[in-house]
Amino acid sequence: MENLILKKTNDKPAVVFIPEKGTFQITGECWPENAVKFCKTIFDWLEEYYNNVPLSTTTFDIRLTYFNTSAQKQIIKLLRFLKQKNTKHKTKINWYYNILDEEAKQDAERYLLLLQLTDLMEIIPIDNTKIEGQTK
Amino acid sequence: MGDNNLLNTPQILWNLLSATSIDDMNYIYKGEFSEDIAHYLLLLAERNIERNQLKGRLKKRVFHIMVESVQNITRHQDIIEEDNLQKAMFAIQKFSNIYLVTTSNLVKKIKVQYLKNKLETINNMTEEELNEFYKEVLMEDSFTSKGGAGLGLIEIARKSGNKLYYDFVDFNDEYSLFYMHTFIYLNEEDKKTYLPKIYSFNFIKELHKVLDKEKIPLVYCSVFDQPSLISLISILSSQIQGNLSFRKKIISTLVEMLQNIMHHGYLRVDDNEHKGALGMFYISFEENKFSLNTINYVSNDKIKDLQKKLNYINSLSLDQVEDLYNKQLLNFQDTDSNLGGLGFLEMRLKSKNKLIFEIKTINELISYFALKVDFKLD
Repeated sequence: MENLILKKTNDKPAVVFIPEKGTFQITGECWPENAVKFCKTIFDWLEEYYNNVPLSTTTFDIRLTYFNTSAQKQIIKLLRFLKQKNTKHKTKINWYYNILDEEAKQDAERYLLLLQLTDLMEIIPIDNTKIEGQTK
Repeated sequence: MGDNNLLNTPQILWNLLSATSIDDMNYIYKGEFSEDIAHYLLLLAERNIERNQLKGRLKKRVFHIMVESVQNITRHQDIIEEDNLQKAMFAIQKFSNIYLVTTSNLVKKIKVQYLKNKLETINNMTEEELNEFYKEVLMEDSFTSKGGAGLGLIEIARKSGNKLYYDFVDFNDEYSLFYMHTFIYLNEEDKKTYLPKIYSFNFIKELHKVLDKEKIPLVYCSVFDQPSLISLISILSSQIQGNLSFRKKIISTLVEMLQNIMHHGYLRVDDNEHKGALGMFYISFEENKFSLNTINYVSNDKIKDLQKKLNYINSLSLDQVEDLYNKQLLNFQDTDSNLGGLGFLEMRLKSKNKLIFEIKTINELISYFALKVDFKLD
């Protein structure tokens, strides 16, 4: 299947899903005009990916420095979706936050708790200077 | 109703909003003029010009004049460092096919006569003379230490095809405020257009005075769509002082407020690419408070829900708001675009203050909805 690569803009994160390389990254800010529409592309792609032959473990690296409330709802939807996929296909989420951003950490902890993600999500502090757009 | 007495929107801003129609723009910035800020100011104005699909040549002219005007300020303003006074102003307004750029900056009084002579020389020239003069000055070696003084004014006069309207207002013993007001017309017939009062030189000078007194550094009155939001937020991100957490709280609140206008405002332009609605945003400072303010039009049939929702959120403690937020986060029944969204909850949580609002009826169809979110400054 084709990779999903969305370029980063001021209000949308970079999305780099390259199954061949085991790369599933979302990096940047997310507060688009229409979060539902933007995230639909991601959901559609993921649905197809999981319906085909996913990797033995799919690991997501999510580095979101800011998102608005409507994007946040889509993020919750994404986390819930991945949790559900994890029952059949092993899925991991590395959720990175800026070490200086205490509230970002609290947000992540809230998602972990609300959606009961302890099995698949890890919250990882990251140095501010390294948080922007790196690839593995 | 909210605590009306706390809103304090100066009357002149209500006048500005009520006289701005959906194709028009009023954008006033007052404060520090760094190269960065100038860049974002121009981006925002440019976005508006683009939306109005100006033809290539006029677009270039408008943009050129904006750049020269902003550069005139950044290069030539005299700053009174010890008072940290930031009097400089850049205003761009659009009415129908007419653009107006007004700038203000402090100049030392000893320079006033020299400037006046220069402005008069330019104003008394015909178009041809002006072009000749432009070449002359361009060739001359007599640039000032700040580079090209005078050339900017000549350029503004040439590109606008108009006189340079100016004024000097006493500031103190040593300084005057230098105002300049430039018209840019799309075509000759537009010169006969009757301009509403908010586009007059006097109105802008008065507005500048009020903004200064009320500590309002930025007013944007136009259509809010995603591209204009991006520019506004870039300007503010570069300007907000304080630690990461404080800055993020303000940006989060701002995004919610402005996107609320964009999604729910009543007077709308929904083109193929973007949707947006007419409204006003301004920032204000009070003693130890920093406030984000928006005013937009709402349909009267939405008012009851809006009031109910805001009064309810204001009646809750922060812990209760947080619980409600979590509950709503998992609630996918409501669509994201209705008032059941998280926006107001987010504003309340980030600011830790009650949301101050006012609804003013305009007619049987629509009302103004004014919202103010306060942040305590340490």
